Amino acid sequence: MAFFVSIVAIISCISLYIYELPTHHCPFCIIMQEYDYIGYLLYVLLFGAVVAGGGIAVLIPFREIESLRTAIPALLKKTRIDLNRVLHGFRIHSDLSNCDLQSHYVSKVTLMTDRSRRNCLRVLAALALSRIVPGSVAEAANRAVLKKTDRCPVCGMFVHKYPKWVAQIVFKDGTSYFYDGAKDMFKHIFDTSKYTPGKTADQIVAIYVTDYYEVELIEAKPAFYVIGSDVLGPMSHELLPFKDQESAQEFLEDHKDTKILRFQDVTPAVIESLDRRS
Amino acid sequence: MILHPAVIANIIAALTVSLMVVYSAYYGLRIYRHWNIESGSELQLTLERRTYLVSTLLSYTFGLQLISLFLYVFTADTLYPLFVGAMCAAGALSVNVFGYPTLILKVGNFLLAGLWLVLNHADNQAYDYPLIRKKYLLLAIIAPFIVVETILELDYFLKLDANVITSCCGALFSSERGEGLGSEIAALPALPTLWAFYITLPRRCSPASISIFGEKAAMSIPLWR
Repeated sequence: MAFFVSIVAIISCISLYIYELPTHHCPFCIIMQEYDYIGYLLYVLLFGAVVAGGGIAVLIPFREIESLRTAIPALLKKTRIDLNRVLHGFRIHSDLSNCDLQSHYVSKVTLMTDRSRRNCLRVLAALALSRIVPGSVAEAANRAVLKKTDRCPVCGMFVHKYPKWVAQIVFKDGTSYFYDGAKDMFKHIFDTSKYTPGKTADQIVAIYVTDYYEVELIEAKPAFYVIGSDVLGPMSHELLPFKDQESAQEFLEDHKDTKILRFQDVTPAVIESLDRRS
Repeated sequence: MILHPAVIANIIAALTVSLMVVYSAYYGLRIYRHWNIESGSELQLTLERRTYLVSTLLSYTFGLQLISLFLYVFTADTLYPLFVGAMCAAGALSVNVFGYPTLILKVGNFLLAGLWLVLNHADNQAYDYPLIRKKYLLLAIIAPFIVVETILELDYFLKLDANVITSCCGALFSSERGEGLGSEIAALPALPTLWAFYITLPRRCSPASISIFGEKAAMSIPLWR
């Protein structure tokens, strides 16, 4: 019972803290390298706890058997001591760590024995630093540079893996978001406050997409978008951006059943039809 | 099929576990039927010797079975860049219909194998094999599941097709799409789910963790929609 509730809780709310995205619930992304493989630790602890708990429940009915009279209480005692140590560690580190998400990792991860706890904390502190430092340096130098840690606010994908499909939106306050395709960028424009609470579409000052032939960032509003082709992006059917009509036309001739749209022609219905094709 | 070292490792692990479990289950059933600790017959002596072999073999086999759950998820996580539309293991597992059933069976078998290991450990602590029949009965129950899991896993890996457009986990676990178990779980209200989570924690653990997690949750990203 607790096992199922825990899995549901991971999908429904705990994962959101790890991703720091309000709409991303995947229970599998947390095992990725980009999240420091934190998911493996969570799942190993969860499964280990379920087996230990289930094992004790199975053994308790046999505690009256003559030859197990000493063995089973010894096993139970062992588990209880471990539980106390775990709780002890949990309290100390939760008091020490401050209230950001990184410390959320720390308090979960330090559910361990005393000896391994200090080492683990050191490793986590190093991990925390390695996650924060490169980001802040790059941010100070140039806000609009795509970093390895940038994720699409719509789907949660790491954008740097798909350099040919990058799209970008810059807001009035200087924050910018990257997308792994023009489709997700349009989704964000159509429903800005859902993916980035507190922001609205009129605060957008610049939008960029990657030209399909040139593979460089171009202004999104004057660009031409081809849909319905056989070329798939990381999110399957996509809008393929071209900087001018000629290159879009050239692409159209090479790939059958395609259609050219301007920026203002792209509506939520067009995006939905692309999603439905996948 | 995709010839990737992780895929081959998975297949070898699955076949090894299946083979060992079927072999052990055969002797396990013989032990279950004919075990009589009072007797000094030749059969009983053979069975006593056999149980040493079988339980040692199974300790390692089930150890491998426990690891194979994580190996399977790791493999799916390694393979996802090959499939269009997948951004993590969730997409790689939905490439064909065998991905998720295999995962569910693997989770179930993980728990059963873990229980067997606990029973075996307790049995080995005593001098007169008090749990021997129960542990081999449990083995007989586990064995068919392990075999089915191996068949499904082979089906999954052999039928992996890189041309399939799969689903992104952003869509599978989207809170507003409203179709499928993943979406329904994702759409659950956060606060009651968290409370359910805390309440199901062991009682000795809950008071401390509720206050700690509660404070943090309130100061993190606004979740309570």
